[in-house]
Amino acid sequence: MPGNNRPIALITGATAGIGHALAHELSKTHQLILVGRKERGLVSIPEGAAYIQTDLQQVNPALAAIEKYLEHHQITAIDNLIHCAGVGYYRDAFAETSHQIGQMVDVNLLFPSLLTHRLASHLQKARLKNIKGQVTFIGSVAHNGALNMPTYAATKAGLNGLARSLRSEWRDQINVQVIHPGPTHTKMHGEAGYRPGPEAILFVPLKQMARDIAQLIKSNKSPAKIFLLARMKSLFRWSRS
Amino acid sequence: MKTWERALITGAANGLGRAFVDKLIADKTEVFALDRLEIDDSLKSNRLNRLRINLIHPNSVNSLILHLKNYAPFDLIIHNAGISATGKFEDISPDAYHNLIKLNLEVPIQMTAQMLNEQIFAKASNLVFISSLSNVVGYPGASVYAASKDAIATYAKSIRKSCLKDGIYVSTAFPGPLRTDHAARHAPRGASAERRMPTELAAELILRDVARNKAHIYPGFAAKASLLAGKVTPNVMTRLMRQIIFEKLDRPVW
Repeated sequence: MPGNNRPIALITGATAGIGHALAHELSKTHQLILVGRKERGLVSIPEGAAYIQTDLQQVNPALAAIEKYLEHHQITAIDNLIHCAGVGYYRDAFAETSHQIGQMVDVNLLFPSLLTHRLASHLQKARLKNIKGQVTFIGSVAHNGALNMPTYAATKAGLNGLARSLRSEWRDQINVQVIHPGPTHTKMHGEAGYRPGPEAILFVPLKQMARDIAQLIKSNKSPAKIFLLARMKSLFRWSRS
Repeated sequence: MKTWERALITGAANGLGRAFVDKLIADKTEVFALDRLEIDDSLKSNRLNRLRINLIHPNSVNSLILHLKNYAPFDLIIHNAGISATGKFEDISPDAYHNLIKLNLEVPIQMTAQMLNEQIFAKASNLVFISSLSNVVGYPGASVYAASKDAIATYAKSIRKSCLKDGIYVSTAFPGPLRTDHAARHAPRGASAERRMPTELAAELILRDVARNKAHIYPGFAAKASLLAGKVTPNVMTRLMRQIIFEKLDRPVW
């Protein structure tokens, strides 16, 4: 994208939930390359954003699709790599199926590890002077354990562990952070098989979550949690407007 | 100490897995020992059943569980099989990461889910996962390994209550460096094996705490001290690990 000096952000899971909200939030400041499963026509993406349609469950083809896009458009540097894609199932240890387990491990942990590995050299090339490339993993507060989402919780703990060690390894070259959102108002709960009850009042609205994540990306804080304070902020905002 | 009737140990050919096998056989447990490598049976024990399986291969978990159903119930399962990959994150092969996440994380989860549904467990049985001390101190130079060990620890924590309802006690062990060929391969050059715990001792300490149905097991004084330090000053510990391990690794190993 010649002639454009805005930093480039590549966001996975950009067609729904947190990834989608974050893409809209970052469209104000970044050039966007968005990755998602849905067909282009079914997705609302910010103007000017590029879109790569690929299914992360097919790990190697998805990696190849992203790499092919970057090569074709001669993009050799990425400023922000943000892993939002994730799958969850609200079932206890006795009820998770083999397919679901494999899907969660592949999409939530294996793919982000391999994509980060594949794009390491892109992240190393800072486009703007004195600003390092940055990887952001979107984890979950579930990373401390969740009775009804054991494999999902495990994969999020995996991201936490990966971020902790990689942040130390790469400290002189690339920023690495993990952000753990608390329950957020997205379709993920329904898709995971969970109907929230009165506790939904605590869920953070998507726009607030995206704002907070964008702020944390700027500050490179890690690990970071977004939960009750974000919910309180959103209530304050509502009452002000 | 509680003893067991029938145990399954994965990664049983060498290292910690082998030490578990030897201790249990001496305690008169019938042991099903599984590995992708040949398991030594020089003692010709009639309590040792050897299974040569590569758990990463598709369908091997399904076939294994079907086979184990013929011998159920088991009252001790230890998910010990695991591999590592050390060096700079970007220098390690992606296939190594794929295999590592599959074996260290996905296989134990798939096996557990299937075993729970196929009634492989006896009443009052013990299910053991092997995590790592890296869970409390970090492990720069083995970031994906650290990820897999954190993940399996959280899986174990998440299933503990559900399993308890069925009389299954879930334990997770967090051993530090052990005196194994595996550890020697992945250690920085010049690192001393003397500082690593002998596997016989680790196996004994872990089994002792498993027998007490302990949820989290830190075998030995050094592991417990690291746990405390890791809780009090986690960033300092990760920085220390970077200095003593990552900065001294001279080549990627997987």
